[in-house]
Amino acid sequence: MVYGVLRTADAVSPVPGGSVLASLVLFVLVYGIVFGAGLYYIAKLVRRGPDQTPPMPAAEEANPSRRPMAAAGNP
Amino acid sequence: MTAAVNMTDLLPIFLPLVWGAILALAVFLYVLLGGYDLGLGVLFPLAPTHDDRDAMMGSVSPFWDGNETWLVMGGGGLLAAFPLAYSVMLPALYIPIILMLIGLILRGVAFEFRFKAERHRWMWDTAFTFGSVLAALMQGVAMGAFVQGFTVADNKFAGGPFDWLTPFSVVTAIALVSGYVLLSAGWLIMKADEALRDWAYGVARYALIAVAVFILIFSLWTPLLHPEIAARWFKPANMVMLSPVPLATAATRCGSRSNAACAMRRSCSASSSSCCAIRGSR
Repeated sequence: MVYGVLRTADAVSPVPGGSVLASLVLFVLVYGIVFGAGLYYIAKLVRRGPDQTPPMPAAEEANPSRRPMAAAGNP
Repeated sequence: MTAAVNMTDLLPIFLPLVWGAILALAVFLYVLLGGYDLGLGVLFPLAPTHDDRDAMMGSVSPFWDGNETWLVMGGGGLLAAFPLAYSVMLPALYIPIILMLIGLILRGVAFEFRFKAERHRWMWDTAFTFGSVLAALMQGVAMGAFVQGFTVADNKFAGGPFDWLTPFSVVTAIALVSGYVLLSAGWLIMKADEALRDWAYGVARYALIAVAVFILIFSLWTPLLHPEIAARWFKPANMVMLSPVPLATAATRCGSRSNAACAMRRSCSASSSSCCAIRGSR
């Protein structure tokens, strides 16, 4: 961790390797699911193509949502 | 020279108290705010109609991530101010904390995807409920295990990976979920209208009964678990000093039973916050 001062063996947490492995596998799994869902959604948007109708100012005001992905699917 | 009191001499006494208060505030606010949005995930599949589910989700979507920030502050503050406690608690609660984080990931992502999904909306509904229930249960388990105490040797956690799983911590988890459901029913009474609000009144009534029962159980179980707590609670002088807490809880509980719906709303939030205060103080 700090060369010659604090070795990794001294700094390691008292957590069994099995727990660490299980948590790593779980995180990879869950991230895979979330990432896959994101890819699926992007692919769906691309397949649908851009909306050709000009934007309506009133329609934008009608959607006060501030969710990060809220703008992605709206014309 | 007889300088009054040097400020730097006081810091070692003063700083831990200040940081203890900051962390207590962060945890209290998390239980209160994060509690109602996790509770909403528990209530979600039970809502009467599909539109109600949309309304429930919409009512928290601007707030939920702000609420979770208190948890980050609690964890970060613990590491910064009390690294020894952090280094014991985190390994001891490794599995529940990881499961809680997985739950929070699933429910947090569900907020974003659910509004976009069409055919797969049921998947995100499930993720929201599963994540919320998992996170709430694991927080309860962690709290129960914390009250029970950890095996420590040489300033390090020295127990097994499943020490946190005991009958006490399981009951704590269920109690915490019922507390969160009560908070969430109070939130819906405040935010929703008409049919959904009436439904929330019904939920609040049952949740209040459940929380009252759990308060009673823990008031008896905790002193049995720790003789030193029993000694502290039941010392005559302390009994007088501490009596306002259970008496106020009992009063709000009885008040809510006899009063009309309007008073119910107020007593609901009062008794759930006093319940949190009791939990926090343990």
